[in-house]
Amino acid sequence: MHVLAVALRYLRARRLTWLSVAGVTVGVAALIVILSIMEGFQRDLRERIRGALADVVVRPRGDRRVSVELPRAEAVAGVAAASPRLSTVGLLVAQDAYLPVSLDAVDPEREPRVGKFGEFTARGVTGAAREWARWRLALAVGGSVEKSLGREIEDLASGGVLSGPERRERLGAEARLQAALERAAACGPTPATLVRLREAVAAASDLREAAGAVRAAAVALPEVAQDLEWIAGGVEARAALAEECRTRLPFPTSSGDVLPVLLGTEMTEILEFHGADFAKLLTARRPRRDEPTKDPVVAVTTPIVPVRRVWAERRNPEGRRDRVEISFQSGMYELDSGHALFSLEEAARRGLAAPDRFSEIAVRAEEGLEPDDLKGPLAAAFPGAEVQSWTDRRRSFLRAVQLEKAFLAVVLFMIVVAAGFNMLGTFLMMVAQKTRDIGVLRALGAGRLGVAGIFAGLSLVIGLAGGLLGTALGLLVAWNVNGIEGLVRTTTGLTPFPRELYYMDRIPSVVEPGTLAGILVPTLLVSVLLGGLLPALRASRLDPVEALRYE
Amino acid sequence: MSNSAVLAAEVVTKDYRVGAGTLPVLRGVSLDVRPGEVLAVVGRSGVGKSTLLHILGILDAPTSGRVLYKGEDLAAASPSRRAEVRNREFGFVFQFYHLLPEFTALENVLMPALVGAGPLAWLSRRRAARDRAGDLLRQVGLEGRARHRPSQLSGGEQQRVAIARALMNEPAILFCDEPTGNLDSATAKEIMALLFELNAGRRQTCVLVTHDETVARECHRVARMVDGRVAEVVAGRLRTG
Repeated sequence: MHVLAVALRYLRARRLTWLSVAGVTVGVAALIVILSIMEGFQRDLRERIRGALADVVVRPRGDRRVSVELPRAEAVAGVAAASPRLSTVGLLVAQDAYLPVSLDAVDPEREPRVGKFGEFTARGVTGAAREWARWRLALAVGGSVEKSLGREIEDLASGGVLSGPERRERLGAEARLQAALERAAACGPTPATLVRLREAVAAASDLREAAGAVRAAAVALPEVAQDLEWIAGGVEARAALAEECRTRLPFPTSSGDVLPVLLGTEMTEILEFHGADFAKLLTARRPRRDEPTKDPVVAVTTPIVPVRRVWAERRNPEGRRDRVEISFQSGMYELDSGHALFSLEEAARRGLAAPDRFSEIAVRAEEGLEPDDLKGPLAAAFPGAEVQSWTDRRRSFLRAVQLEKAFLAVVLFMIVVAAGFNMLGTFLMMVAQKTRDIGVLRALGAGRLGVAGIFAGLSLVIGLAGGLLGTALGLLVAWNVNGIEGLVRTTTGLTPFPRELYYMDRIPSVVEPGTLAGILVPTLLVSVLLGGLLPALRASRLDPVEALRYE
Repeated sequence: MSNSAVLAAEVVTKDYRVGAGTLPVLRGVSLDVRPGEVLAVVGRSGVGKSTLLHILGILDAPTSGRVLYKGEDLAAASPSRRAEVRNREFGFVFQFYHLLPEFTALENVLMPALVGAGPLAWLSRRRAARDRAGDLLRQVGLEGRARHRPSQLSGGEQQRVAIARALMNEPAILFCDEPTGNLDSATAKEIMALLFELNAGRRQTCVLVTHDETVARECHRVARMVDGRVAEVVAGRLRTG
């Protein structure tokens, strides 16, 4: 019992001992925060990759007819959905730019069921709609103030409506518009309300909510009601489009010779930057038997156009037809800038693909079933076929990410090790200072184990206190990392987490119980084995007679 | 004679290693401690009085020889048994008091009970131990100072606390190593009076190391050490009542 009493009393009497706790606290908190955020990023990334690749892909040999192979894939137990793809590569030619693209001809209805391209497209449409509403609202602000300022805003805003973010940035339109809007907000209650509405739309979590805010404002501001009603209608139409994209990729049924392609947001930007309204796709195919050529491949040029939706029935206040460029946003740059989807059926009609042919079947596993568990049954159903899960296809990348996390954990754990050395020094000093008292305790009948226990116990208490404080601090930060980031943003004007860069509206942070245990157990081990073991041994080896003589 | 002894040293030697050679401090000491007596050990400084006391109190192990406590050879006993005997059967009073500075007077007195008990046993024994520690402090005349730290007490008061601490577990033998060596003569007299009072009151067996011949003469017997041996054991003034 004296072990506990003496250890606790030493802790109470020597406040400096608590400095050792601080080191452990910092180390544990840093580990929890960093590993939680990395876990969040990693999960998000895995989710995106999985969504783009589909759970499992089957590439059969021999006859590859959709009408034959697809039902066979769907019949395999554990398959929730299957979709044929015809994958190839090509070159996108727009004005003076040549852009390499990977191409997937897909089934517009089946594809969103196996992968996330429906989701990605909905995200792209939603982002574009929010931007559109913001620039339209800027125009409305321009219309509500006196002439010269109003015209300036309208000039800036109409440029913004017509061009994408990249060109807007080059023109400096954003910054100039922001300054003009601030001046306009000071002009009267109507422009002020509109400017606030513009910020509310930008911050709204979904499009319906944004449309609702605009409609409410239309009721409150009769002088701009017509404009606002029209904007709200546009936002709602885009919200409906986004919904539709989730279940069906938005390829138009026919566009003449021109093949409509679904591009990523980055690719759309690049095309727009080159000023190309339409482009050509260069691909290759094997020559037909009757073709008079000795070359092993024949180049095929197909005129393409980005998928767009035109609302012809509702002309905007300027009398122009309002059109929406539709693009997908996966959040992975290489995909958003180098991938294009088009309809399998449309491609066949334009001679870009043979009818009913595919190169792979993408499969989604049923809920709760690991994609890797589906590989066996699929391989059995398609003998000789190549069957790969999404983790197989990105194995080295996923491993690299995992390894990066492990290395970071080891490096950060060095803080805890440093804290352990700090404890070692503190306790060795304490044993030296308390030599006489240790002798007294021995004289009173304490065993070697007992006096060793005092210092081992001290290190355990420090380790526990540091571990628990660090966990509390770490969880507090990990759970409120977005609030903290917001605080930094508003107080210093810095942007620690640029959302556009990561295509995330918040910093992901996932606290795993296993990670917590994986941090706390080694921390306690380091505290006791590094910080406490040597002092405890030294205390237990003191000769009581020598110790009593010690002054 | 030896069958009436509660504690006996039999031909105890103690060498200290100094560099490559050895320095003999005790050269074959045999000495009995009889129940109920106050045995003074006197001699010039460096003669090995304290070393003998440490060996008798099994704080230190002899190089050769036996230390018999109630017939058991403690020199050969296991470390845990020796610790147990120190805790249950022996009490120590040192020249420099050696109280634990972080603990109050009462807590210092409680320490032997705390050392001897596991956490569970302590829970059931705590109240009784506190009462006894309070009683002991009253007996040594410090009832008002239970909550004071050693640094707030005078030397004499600290030594009284140390005596109360030594008595906490009702030891069979009390070892006092120059208990008045660090006190002024008036306080020293009070402390000695307290020790003799304990002996008279509860027949507390006591081994007292001192260099003060006048104090030694007041005891039952006086063992005089010369050159690492007990040269003679003579009767003191005190008679067993």
